[in-house]
Amino acid sequence: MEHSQALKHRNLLLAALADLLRRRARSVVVTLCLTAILSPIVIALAISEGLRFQAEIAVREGADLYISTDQYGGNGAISIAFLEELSTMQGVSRARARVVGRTYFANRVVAVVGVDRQSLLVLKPLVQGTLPDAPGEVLVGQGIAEEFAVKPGMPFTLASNNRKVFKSAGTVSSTCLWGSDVLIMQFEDANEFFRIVGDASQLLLYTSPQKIPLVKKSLFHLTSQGGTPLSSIQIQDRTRIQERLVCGYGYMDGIFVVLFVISAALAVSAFLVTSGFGLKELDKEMGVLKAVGWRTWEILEKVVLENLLISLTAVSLSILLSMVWVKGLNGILIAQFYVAEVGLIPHVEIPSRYLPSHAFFYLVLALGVTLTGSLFSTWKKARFTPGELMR
Amino acid sequence: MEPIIKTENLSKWYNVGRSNEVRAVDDISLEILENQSIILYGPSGSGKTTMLSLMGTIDRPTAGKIFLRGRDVTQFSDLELSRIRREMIGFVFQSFNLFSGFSAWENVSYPLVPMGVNARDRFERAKTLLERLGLGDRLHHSPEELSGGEQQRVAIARALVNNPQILIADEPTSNIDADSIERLLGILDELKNEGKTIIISSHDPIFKEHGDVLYRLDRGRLEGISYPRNEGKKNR
Amino acid sequence: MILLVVISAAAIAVDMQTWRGRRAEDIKIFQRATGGLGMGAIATPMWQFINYDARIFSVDDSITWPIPGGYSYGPDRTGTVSYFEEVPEDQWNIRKP
Repeated sequence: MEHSQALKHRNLLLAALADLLRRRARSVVVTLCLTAILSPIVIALAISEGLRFQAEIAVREGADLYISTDQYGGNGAISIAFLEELSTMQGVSRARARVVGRTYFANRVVAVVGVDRQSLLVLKPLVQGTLPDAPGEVLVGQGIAEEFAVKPGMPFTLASNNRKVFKSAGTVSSTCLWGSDVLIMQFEDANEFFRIVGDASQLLLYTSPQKIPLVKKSLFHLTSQGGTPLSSIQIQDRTRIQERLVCGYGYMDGIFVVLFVISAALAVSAFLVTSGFGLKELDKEMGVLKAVGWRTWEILEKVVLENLLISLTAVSLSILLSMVWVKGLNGILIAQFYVAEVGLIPHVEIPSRYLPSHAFFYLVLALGVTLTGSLFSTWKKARFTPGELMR
Repeated sequence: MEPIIKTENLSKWYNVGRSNEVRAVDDISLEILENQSIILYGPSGSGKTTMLSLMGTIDRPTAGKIFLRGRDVTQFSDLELSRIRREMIGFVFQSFNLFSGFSAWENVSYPLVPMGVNARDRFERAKTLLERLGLGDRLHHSPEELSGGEQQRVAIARALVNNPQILIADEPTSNIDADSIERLLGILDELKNEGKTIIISSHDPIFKEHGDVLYRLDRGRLEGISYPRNEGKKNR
Repeated sequence: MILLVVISAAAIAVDMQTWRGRRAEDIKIFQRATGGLGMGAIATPMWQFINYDARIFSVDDSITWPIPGGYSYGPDRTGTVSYFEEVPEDQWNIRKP
């Protein structure tokens, strides 16, 4: 009376579903356990992917080469006098200087960015207000503007140099994590604020991908001439930065270490439940199934399908819960564990990005937890005779 | 005629070699012909259930052999035994062992699930059997909603769903009322008339006068054989 | 259960779509203007620049702290979804006299 194989597997799938519904309490407990295990990981990966997406744009739209000096082993300011020499190098299509520093805006650390006028014009679509034109005019990041009610036209000074009077020209929208707590101003204003004359944090060189080796070669030639002003420069190129980006957003460091440890601890409880810890009833049912003609592998297949259904449910729940929490509630209470300096109620939009490949990973992880518990114990028990199982 | 079931020096011992060793079945040899109605009779602890489990391939013996249609199944693999249980044997357990949460028809048709039978066919097959056993109006009731006699009939229907040649019932009268017992005896007679081989274990005296062969067991050993049906004919 | 799976799959698809549109364009404008600002999972350059943007300062000088009167090292600099290490200089030459 054996019918098609496809129908057989379909029957087993429906039998698995029926069994889950029959043992509702156990199914709910295991699903919730799995969801608790998965949710922190889902949130971490989603935020990581969102930030990585933003960071990749930051690297891609940035310069090809960043030039600074070497000062006591770290980056040091570089004279803007070199700008002209570098801009005329073979392969360089554009060169500009920028100041990047940090200061306190009231009690909040903010990045200070000073760029040339031409670069400021690019920001127009993102600005509510006007672009900085007169000396001292500054664009305030949305996070700072909202927190401290900084409106266009408002003058202010900052503690680290209260002689420099700024005036808010407008607010720049927070398009990314780093665009919230930032002050963007003209290059000269930044230097004046930091009391630096004639230097920049970095000189930015733009070239084409094919010409980067040529430009680097020319730069190295300059640096090899010891004793010249350019002999102690540091060069960072886009390729190296991109490599660091890839490594920096790996899943083996930082918060992921803690997450995997916690998940492993929680997985133990899920393991115990799915392995039928203390549930003699399941052993007896298995004995009855074997006694009425079910084969061992058919029982195992049903167990696998039960766990697959539970895992699918838990993964879906985790993803939806994560979306509601991070996108809907902007990661309130939880984002601070994944992104530094955002506080209990983040003042900046927490980016999160969900990928199908991650969903597949969550499914594999969930299956790993449930199957480790149930499949092995079921396989062990299924080797007993039906009579032994029913006793 | 080749027996459908034959045992040779069959034994099942528990805790072998220990102080609490139990010889549930000890060196029993018997033969069961096709279409016979066999009673394993004896008090509690005599080894009846163990003997049924061994003949039904639900347990493995400690010693001895079991032959089903001439094949020694003692050394069969788990897969081969599953096939025998699926195709040849229907087992009715003493405590029925129905799945709570499933309806009567779902319990009956559960053995058909891994055989790739579609839901409609499974329902029809279960419905036919349950109607035959007088449970046509109980198809969708779960075991908790059925009486002891009704649960037993569901268990019998489940045992019959694969149309086995051998029906084994362990203490079928122990959990049911008198009316149900009468009904049960009628069902068993019907099944025998259809050509099935019926093997029953019981300590109920009512079976002393039923069956083709009655094997009397005591403390795991075969103590006697009688032929109730023949004796009944002789006495008339 | 099927509904849950379908809803979550649809949610992922919608999310992937939204990331590619207006949002990406706005980020590009900001990054072009500033010359590339931000890489790490930290909203401000609170501790040191390496985890905020390793281009700005590629040295993790928190490992040289504490210094007298200085800032103690940031214990939570690794407690985020990103972690940028220093890239070690692997040139080491001993010149014979």
